[in-house]
Amino acid sequence: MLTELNHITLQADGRYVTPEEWQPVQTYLAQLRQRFSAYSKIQSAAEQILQEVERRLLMRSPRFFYKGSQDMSAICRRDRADVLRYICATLLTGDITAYKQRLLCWLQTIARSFQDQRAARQTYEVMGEILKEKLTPQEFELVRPIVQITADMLGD
Amino acid sequence: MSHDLTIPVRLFFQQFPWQGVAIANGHSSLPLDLHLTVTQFWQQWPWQGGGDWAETTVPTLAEWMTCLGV
Amino acid sequence: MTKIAAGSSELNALWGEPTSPTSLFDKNRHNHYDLTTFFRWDLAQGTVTDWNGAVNFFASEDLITGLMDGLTEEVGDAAPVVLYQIGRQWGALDGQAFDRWFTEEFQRPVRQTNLLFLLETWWWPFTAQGWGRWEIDLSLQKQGFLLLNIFDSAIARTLGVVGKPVCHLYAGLFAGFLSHLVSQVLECAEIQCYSMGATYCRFVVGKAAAIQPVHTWVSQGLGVREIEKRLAGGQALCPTT
Repeated sequence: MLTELNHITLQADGRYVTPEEWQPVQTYLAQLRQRFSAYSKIQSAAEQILQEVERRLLMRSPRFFYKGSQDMSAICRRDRADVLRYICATLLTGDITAYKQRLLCWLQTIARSFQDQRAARQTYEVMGEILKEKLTPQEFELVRPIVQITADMLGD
Repeated sequence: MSHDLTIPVRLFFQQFPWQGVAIANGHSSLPLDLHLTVTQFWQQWPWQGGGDWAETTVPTLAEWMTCLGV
Repeated sequence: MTKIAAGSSELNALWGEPTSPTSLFDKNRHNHYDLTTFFRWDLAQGTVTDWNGAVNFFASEDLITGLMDGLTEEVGDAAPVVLYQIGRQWGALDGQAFDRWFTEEFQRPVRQTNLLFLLETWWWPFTAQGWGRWEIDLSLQKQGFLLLNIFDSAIARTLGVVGKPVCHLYAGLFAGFLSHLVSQVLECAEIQCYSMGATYCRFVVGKAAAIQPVHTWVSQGLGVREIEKRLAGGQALCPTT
């Protein structure tokens, strides 16, 4: 939303902002209570969510976190925790552009370096499933596009 | 932390919380033998516990240097 | 105005050593390449310092056009060679700086690092500075070549379609940096350029003797496919795994 606000301010330089331009801000403000409530739910259940992601991925394959003979569990766990925190922050700000610029564009190149795209896609799809179970449908609707773009960019 | 794949699969799952989820999702009706070791457990399934995703290996700088003949 | 933060290490000599700005940042954070995170703006001093402590300046497209025109006027046909050499020296110097900040940031020796991760990490500051996104292609690694794509070359974008490769500065930069990385003389040739009407620029890096004929092929008008077929036809230097 900060990026959008900035954009609107620049765009409307020398004139007043039109109702159409305000619309995204209005929508954001109307969603704010749910954004906060989803944020605190994820925040307080973060540990559980992360462990459940790991459990479901390991159910798909016990070697899910292996690269050859190397066990990458610890690194993957750290990355999932970081990404979940970013997803949460983005849920609050509604600023997917900043999320892409600050994390995803960079992390995408790193995921590709380690040929981790397939695992990354599954990881964030599973994370989405779990968030869906933890949140109300309205709350999940706000977090869904953020998780989706995470899976799409890191899994590409 | 890495996972010990020689322990029985029951113990393996107990390392993770939320044991109620599988039952809640109706998965408990699957005839699972939880006494098998983790490795044996996954070998039962068609995908046989694959999960090494990389199709090709990315070399380290040192390995690439041998390719260059340095 | 194009955002090109040009130069890095060389400028420190002119501007004085920066006062260790890295200490102001969270060293555990690796995703620090968006505009507001990567650069630190000091209005009082009139300086822009990047995450790795180098002083940057921002230049417009006019500077690039001026630089190319000026060089051509001074040295004529040798301008591409001069630009390549400037790039080469820049790459070598930047390689020394990279060794320092990479080992400091990631606490691991450069040589034991995954090649793609290493190169991505090297290029990210350049992406942040506006030199363009890139893509590394390892498909000819067994033959001893590295292929690089640049998607929005600051130089090609400025000059437009002129019908020949123009990114000599980039080619030099890649040659200089990679030579430093492997402690051996490598050369780089641009085999496809935005200025030839392509959608992106493509470079090949390899040993000097192997790159020499590539320049000839490009000037003969051979396309990338044909060039790469010839490069792939060369004997594999490394057994396939």
